[in-house]
Amino acid sequence: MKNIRKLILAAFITLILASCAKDEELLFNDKNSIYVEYQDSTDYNFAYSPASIVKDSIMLHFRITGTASASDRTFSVVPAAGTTAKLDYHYKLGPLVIKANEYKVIVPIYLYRKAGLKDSLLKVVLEVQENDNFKQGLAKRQRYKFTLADIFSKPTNWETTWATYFGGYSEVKFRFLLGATGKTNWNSSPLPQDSRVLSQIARNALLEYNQTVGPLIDEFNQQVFFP
Amino acid sequence: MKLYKNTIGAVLFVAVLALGGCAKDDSNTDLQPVNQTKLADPATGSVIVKFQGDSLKLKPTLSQSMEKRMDELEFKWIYYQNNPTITYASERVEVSRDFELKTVISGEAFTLGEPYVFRLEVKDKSSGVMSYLNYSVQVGNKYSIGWLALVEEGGKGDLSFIFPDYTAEHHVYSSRNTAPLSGPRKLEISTFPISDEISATGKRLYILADNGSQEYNYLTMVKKFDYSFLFFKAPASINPTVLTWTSQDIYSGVRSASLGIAINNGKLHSNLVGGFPGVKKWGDIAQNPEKNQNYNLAPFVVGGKTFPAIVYDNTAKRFYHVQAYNPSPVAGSLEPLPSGSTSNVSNPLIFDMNNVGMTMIFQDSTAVLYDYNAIMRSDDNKAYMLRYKTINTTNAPIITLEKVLMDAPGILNYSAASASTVTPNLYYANGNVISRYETSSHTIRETYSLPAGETVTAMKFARTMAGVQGPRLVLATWNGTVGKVYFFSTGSLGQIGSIANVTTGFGKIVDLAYKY
Repeated sequence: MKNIRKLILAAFITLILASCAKDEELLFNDKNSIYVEYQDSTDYNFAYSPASIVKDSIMLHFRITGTASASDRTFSVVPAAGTTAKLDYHYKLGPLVIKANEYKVIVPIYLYRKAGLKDSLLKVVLEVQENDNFKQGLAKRQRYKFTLADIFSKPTNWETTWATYFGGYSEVKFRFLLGATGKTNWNSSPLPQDSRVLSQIARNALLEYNQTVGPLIDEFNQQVFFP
Repeated sequence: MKLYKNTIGAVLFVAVLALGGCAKDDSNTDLQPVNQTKLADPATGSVIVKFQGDSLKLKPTLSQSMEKRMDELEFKWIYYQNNPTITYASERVEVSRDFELKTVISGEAFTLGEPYVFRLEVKDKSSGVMSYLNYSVQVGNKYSIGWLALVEEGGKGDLSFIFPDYTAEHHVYSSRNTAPLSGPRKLEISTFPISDEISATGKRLYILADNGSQEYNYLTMVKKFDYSFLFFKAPASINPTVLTWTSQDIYSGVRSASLGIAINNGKLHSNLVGGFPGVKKWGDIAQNPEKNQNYNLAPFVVGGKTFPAIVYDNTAKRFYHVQAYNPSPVAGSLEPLPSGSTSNVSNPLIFDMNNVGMTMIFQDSTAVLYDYNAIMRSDDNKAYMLRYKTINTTNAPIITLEKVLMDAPGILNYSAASASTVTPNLYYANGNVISRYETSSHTIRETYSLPAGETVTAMKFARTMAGVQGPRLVLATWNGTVGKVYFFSTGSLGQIGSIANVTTGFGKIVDLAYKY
């Protein structure tokens, strides 16, 4: 019994002494994490490109939290639940590497114009996965979603993004914009400088068309104009 | 039983102690005093300019709340590139563990023209308490401060540089660029950094010429980009007259670009810069309010708080303003100045910004912030001065200030002109004669004759110059053989004054710009 008491006392004294231990300095030495930096989704449609275009790419921005490293570090991104497109068939991922002394990277996602896209809208959900170098970063920035199609349609963000620059939608107007600007990705929000120049180029192209050919009339028998 | 109770009691007592040891200490009683270190140096109050290859010696002063030996302190000097676009991501490099810094600004590690922060960290080894001191260091070269002259020699363009001691270096352009400059027209310099992501954030230098207009490195003056590269869609014909950046602020300490304005072939192109990502270039031709391109802009642009840019159309003979950013009307198009009973910015009893009916031949800033003077030629060949401002408020919506028929002989055929930004005066030249037109009394106050045979080819008013007391009126002349630059120290009322310095040996100077 005495021995048990001594043991218990020794254990508590040890605990008490341990509680007096000096805290470690609160320096950041945790594992770095990585997250999707800018936009978190897009809709890509091959129908906005000429038939000769069979491959394209979209850019995915990643940024790390933590410190830069003296050597290159790989990170992991995998298709998550809900993905209907096939990796390495409908799309491929570019190198997933944060270069030495860098804090961010732009990774291309290569998209392939496969026949099935003519009648199917495919979905990809990419998710950051922890590996030896990086944990998952900001909780709401771990995923990037995109859809892939080859079906001519009104851009999903026409009313929220493009209507302010180009007015009401018509297929004739949109096909004119595709030809005048050469822009193929209309389902994402443009940067301010890009929307400015797209609008300027489109207006000057329409001015030239009206002066050389005549009014451009859409499928609703209305003259195409930009506000 | 008693022994058992004592044991239980002892265990409980120890357990309370153990748990108490884990409680958060909310005490606000005095702690054991620690040594507080403090660093100071007057040199941190300004930017230290160093050339590549220079040595950098920094000697801060250190004070301590407790007298400790220096070996009880730990020192560390680091530096990093302080460019606003990369500051948070730029590499922190340790350069020394001594209290005083002695290092070399080597060309490999320090980029010309870039700002750096050198930081001293001092740490009390026993307490871990740290103090910091930051120095701002700019890596420059001998062309950082002085006058840049665009000259024409033997049918080709070149650059000369006038240093603060008024000595000059010629053939600066041709000694470092292979592409010849033909038909040099104008120097365009941004006095504040531009973040366009075409190249590193910094000041911009453009040389406008009949063809071959280009962007050059601000400090080395080596070509960076062709003119066409600066546009999202290259203009069909190259005929530049303006390539500049307006700012909503006047004071250099806080100035940043609000809008880039290029006038090429009389058409407007604009460039929106800001904190958003991506490359920014000049856009396509702006349309006028009639949604066409039938206009011809005068080679002048001004900007201010309310209107980021105001330009003048010599075809429709009216002013337009240019939006920095809005989707519709499309940002970058020419827009009428607000009119109508509730929003009119023009007082029709003075003049109507949207219906002037004259041709603009000159425009410059004034001694009043955001006020501008435009010199106009009427259809019956008379000179008028229009005064207006680029800022208004709800309570003071009118921006038209004055319209005056000028009594200024020769102003319609001026060879060079510049306005004072200190006093209400406009200086202009005809041949070798300089006239001072006082914009408050609207009279010619004085004329000054330079040596016969000399013609004034360029003129700039410098409110301040490094190492010089008071403003300077700077004139370039050409006598058919050699070009000269005269520096006049103007009087308190703007009098042309006397020649303070002369630098000679130039070709025919087309334009002057002060670099700082």
